[in-house]
Amino acid sequence: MQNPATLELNGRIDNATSADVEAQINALLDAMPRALIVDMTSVNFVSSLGLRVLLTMAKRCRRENVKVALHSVTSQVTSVLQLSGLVAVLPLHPNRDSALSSVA
Amino acid sequence: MGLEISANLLAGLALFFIGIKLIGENMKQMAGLGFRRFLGRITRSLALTALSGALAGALVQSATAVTFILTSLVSSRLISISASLPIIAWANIGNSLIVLLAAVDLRLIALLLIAGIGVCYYTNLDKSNRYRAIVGAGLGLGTLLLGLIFMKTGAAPLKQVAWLSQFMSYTKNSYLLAFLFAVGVTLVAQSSTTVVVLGISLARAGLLGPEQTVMIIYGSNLGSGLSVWFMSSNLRGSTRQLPLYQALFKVAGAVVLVVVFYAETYFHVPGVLSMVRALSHDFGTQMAYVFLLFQLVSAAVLAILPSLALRLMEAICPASTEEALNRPQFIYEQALEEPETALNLAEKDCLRLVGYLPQFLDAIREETRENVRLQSGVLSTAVLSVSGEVKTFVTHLIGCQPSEEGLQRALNLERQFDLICSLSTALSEFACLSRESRGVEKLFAFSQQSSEALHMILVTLAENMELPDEVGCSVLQELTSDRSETMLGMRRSLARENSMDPQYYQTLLALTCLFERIVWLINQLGKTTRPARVN
Repeated sequence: MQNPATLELNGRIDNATSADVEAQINALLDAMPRALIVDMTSVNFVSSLGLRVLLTMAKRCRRENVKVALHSVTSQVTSVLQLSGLVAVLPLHPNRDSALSSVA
Repeated sequence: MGLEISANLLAGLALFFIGIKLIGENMKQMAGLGFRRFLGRITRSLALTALSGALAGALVQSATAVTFILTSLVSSRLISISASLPIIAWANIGNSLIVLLAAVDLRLIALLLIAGIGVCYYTNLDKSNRYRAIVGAGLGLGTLLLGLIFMKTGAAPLKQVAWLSQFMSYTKNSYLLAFLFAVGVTLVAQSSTTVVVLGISLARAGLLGPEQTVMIIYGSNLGSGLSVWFMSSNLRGSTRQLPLYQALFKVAGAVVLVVVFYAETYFHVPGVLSMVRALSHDFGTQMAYVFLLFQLVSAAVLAILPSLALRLMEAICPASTEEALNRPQFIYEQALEEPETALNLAEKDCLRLVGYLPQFLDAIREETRENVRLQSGVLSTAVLSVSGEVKTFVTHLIGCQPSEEGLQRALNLERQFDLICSLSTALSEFACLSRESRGVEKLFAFSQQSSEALHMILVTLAENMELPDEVGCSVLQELTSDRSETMLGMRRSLARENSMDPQYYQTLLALTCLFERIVWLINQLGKTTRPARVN
């Protein structure tokens, strides 16, 4: 097991970008980290497909016993995550430190 | 006189279409497996098909009406298109046979039928669950027959119209003109009988020769075939194939017999005229034989070239997208003999419907609203139609005494279809409200976020129902867990934006309540799915 992996996402996670985001997540999880921290500071829109990518990530982390946390999520994206129920499987944290301490 | 004739024809046409609609709507309610099996038994036997077709043609005295009644049965999936074709052919023959055998009083049949239906209404049978559809279909048939009577009696005075007789007698010198004249008048008057009777009377008076009368019979038959095609212009998709078959039936007979006619007239090859003269000395009977021969030749041509007719029908009237959507894709009646297979098939149709659910949101989602494949109304009709049919199938399956496990699966399926129908209704309303909120920025943003969230949950549900696993099932339950606190917070926050506008608040309340309801329904549907057992 290695140190927490970190991933910084930007802009929109939609039909055009989700395949790329999924590939990045899978590459990180293939290295079998003990935790995954996702920085959402610069994400301003998440579509249904983007939400599916995050859900798939959450399910894989659960199966492989990898802790996962999202931090610095904008209010607009927080609303979508709340409406989709993803907050129940992907804990949100106000900042990077809080996220890191949650997976420690 | 002109106004009266037109009014009778128009009123007759109107009653005809009202009758067809009533028959169609009530047949849909009668579309149980019992009635379908009864029709299946008739259409599987050649003798019963011929008898039922000929009887229908003789009693209703209109192959057009029989064609439209069969179209209603095909729309209700009570009978297949291919099984209906021989019935139409035999209805044409039955209709012409009645001219030879005896006169059936159509008016009397219609009046007795309507009187009987009146008694049913008086005794409140129209309110009984068991007989409502039969009474409704009977009323439809009575109305249709009344419409036919109006058209026939309306067209009858045409025989006394001087200019019409005069014009018909002008055709004395041209066989082709007689033929075209009969096509045109039948198209307008909607009654080939009137035109034929007028032709025979003029021939008896010496104003027309037997050759012209024969051409008038051919023309009026072709005219009635074309009239069926024009009358069916409001139908869409493969349901128009039967009216096309009736038109092709008449075209086939006309093409062959007109060629035979010219060969006989100009090259003295023995043909129809020689044959009917040998059969009878009476002119009226001879013409009745010509009428019957036309139907027999048409039926023979289409029987020799069945694949060509079917190819033409499928090319000109292909099944519409809606038709394919509105039908179950997997279940079939014979599968009931194997309850395990039947359940698997019904479950596949259930999964197919769950796959439609995310598409209800396509019209409002940012990424799909410019390229919507199916409108929510179309999807909703498809979900309700397929659910209704598969639920009837499952009910029959339960009656076949399946195993304990099979019974549990069948009951689970019934619950799933109920939830899918409720979801379809709620999603349609949600899509409609979201579109209405476009003018209000905050509300529209909320509806956009909600639609993306719901779309993701619905896709996850479909995936989970197809391949259920432990993690997928538990995650779906977490995604759809109670979020009334979250929704209350969002509702309060959004209400503060525009608290003075009651319309705004009402839409906000409706949208958030619908959102919660949809999530709850998905949660319940998710609970009906059990993870696959790992061996």
